[in-house]
Amino acid sequence: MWTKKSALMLCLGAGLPVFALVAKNVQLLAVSIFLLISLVIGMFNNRLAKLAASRTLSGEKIFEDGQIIVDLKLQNRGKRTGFLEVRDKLPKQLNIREGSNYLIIDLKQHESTTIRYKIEAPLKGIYTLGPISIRSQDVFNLFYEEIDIDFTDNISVFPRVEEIKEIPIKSRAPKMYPGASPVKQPGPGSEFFLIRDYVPGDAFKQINWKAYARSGKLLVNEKEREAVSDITIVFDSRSSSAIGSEADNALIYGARAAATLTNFFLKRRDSVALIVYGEKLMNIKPGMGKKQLFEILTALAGTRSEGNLPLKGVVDVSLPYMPRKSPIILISNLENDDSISKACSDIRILDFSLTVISPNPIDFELMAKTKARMPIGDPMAYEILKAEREVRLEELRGYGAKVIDWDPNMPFTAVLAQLRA
Amino acid sequence: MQGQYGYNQQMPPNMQGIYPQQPQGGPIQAPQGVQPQGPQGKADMQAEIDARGKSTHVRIPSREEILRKYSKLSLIRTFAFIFLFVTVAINVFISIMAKRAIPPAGTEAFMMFIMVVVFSVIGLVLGIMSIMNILGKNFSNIFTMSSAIMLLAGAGCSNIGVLLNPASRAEFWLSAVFAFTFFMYLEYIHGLNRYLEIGEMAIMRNLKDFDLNAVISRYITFGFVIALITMVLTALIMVSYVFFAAVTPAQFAESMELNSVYGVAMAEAVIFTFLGIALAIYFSLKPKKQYQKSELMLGTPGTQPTGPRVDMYGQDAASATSAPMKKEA
Repeated sequence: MWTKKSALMLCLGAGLPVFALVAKNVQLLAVSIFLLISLVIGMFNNRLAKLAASRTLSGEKIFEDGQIIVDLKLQNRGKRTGFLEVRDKLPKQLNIREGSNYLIIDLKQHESTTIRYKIEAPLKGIYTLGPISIRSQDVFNLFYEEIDIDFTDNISVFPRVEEIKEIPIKSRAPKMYPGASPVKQPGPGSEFFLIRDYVPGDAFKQINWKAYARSGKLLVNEKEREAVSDITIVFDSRSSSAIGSEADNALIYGARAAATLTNFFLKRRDSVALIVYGEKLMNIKPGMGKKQLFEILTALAGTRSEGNLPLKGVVDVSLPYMPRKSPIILISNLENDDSISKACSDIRILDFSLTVISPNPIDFELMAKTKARMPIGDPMAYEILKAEREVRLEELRGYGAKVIDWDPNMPFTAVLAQLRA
Repeated sequence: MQGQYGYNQQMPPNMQGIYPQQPQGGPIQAPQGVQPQGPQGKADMQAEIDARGKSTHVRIPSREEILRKYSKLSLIRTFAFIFLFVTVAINVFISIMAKRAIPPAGTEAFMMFIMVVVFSVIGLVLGIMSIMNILGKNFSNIFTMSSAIMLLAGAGCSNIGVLLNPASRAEFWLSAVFAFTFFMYLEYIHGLNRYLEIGEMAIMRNLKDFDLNAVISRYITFGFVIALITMVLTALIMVSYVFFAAVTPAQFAESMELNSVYGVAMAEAVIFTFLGIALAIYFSLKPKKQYQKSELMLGTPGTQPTGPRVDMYGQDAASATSAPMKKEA
């Protein structure tokens, strides 16, 4: 490939003889010949080296704002490379914190070098590092050859997880397995629940001797049963979830909320399922423990705002498979979907408890405009949008759903405080 | 690092206590800069943005700082100065030699000589301004171009004329040297600016392993050798009109036109026309390189869950000395 410099030299080399003949000047002719000869030599003085490349990552899975150290090792398997530009191509969402993904090297035969840099991933997603772009140039930078080594690595950036203490969401039909959710029933557990009369077969250690001394009859302590709840999180990743800026929108905030809730429930030893709907429906079956946590986090990392599946369709398909009376948490900005009311109504009719966490898209839009220093426009339009949204939320509340209007300026922990209230 | 989670990962501090057992395969370190609490309102968000802005702020090193750190850059600058002065000197010298002396004042030749001097001096001043980068990078490029035009204009004014038997004249050979010094002057200015940018990047990103001096050394040495070869070839092409004189009829071979600047121009035209045709045929017949990609294994298995994997580029076969990497599930 020609550089701008070589193109200029060609023009000068071709044009100077004309001036030289007009001025009858050998000097200009000499310059012209020199430039043209340089171009010819430059064409043959440029070759791509034989390189072996390996990339080592300090981690493949991190949380938002986490950092990864990348070591890109290059080894020359051919002759001396000459001037070689190496660039490890990165997605624009990744920030380089230390070092550089770009270097000019000159490797001797069998010599190797390592490019080390540290990247930070502020936003969730699945990102591809590479390919490695190699560009060789001749000594005078007249020509270059470029090729990509198709060598890539994927990293998963999980949504940020926040620490929360308590959420009053549990199933009204818990499973029989021992868990961590008190279900207001006598059974195996750790917390005192009631005192009842002794019946033959009760364990001797259960007898409440103080009550016996006071009343004169045998009474036993009963503990409150702690069981497993089935929680289903329905996450909206439709195209409308991208309203706002790249870093502040319902998809990003919602994914953080879903990750935080999943972490909390799994820590409570509940069973959590995830349904993501956007262009298509993705279902992570209920499960417990660390494996489930990372399955859900990986699914959330891979969500992209696309498609426009209606919630009603999602509910119709998924509800028959959900445990009865279990809680459903819907995380959606409730935009551009006329079927939301009907879907929520169906959920409530079938006796599921429904919690709607709705990041406010109007606030996201205003935030994005403020950051971009764009004019906000007619405030009346936003007032109307807000009124319409309030009506929609009230309608859902009317079906018996707990609805939280999430102002993006509020941290998620504060949003959950509303739920407790 | 590989923890109990089965793959390489980092967890924020608030998640490390989820499970009773902490990983045994190595500590899970919290990534720096994790914000577990999220934005705390507009004020805190702004503070967070400001903090990030500060942490990503990198001081741009001054030109002198770069020159100090990479001493070979100063060498390029010195060479640029030397070749600029030599170019100007040759320009004026050729002009004097063409007339065998400084022409008498008031004559047309004297006016031409003055123009050579004026253009050359302007080219010199602009060149110095460009090398010293007095008004910044963009102006430096403008000064370089202007300087080159002025030097060529000066060369154009030193009317050597229609030389009979030009190969016997010293100014004929000096022209080849002029072409060499002119090219090297421009090349070193360009190289200086190019490597200054790279040096700036290396300092800004604190690249400790990056040896720019070695690259510059090779550039100076290799570039000089290539330029010398180019100069020799230039001189050969310039005298190749003698070959045309030998193979053409005497009427043409002994004509004044062939034994003058026109003969040199004709030699250039003929040679580069044939060279162009040859290059066109060569590049059209040259097979395109097929780059094959294969996976190699360089590291010790198990030490790195994710690699290292190696892609070979430009090599036909994978190494037989190492086993393929097993990737962790």
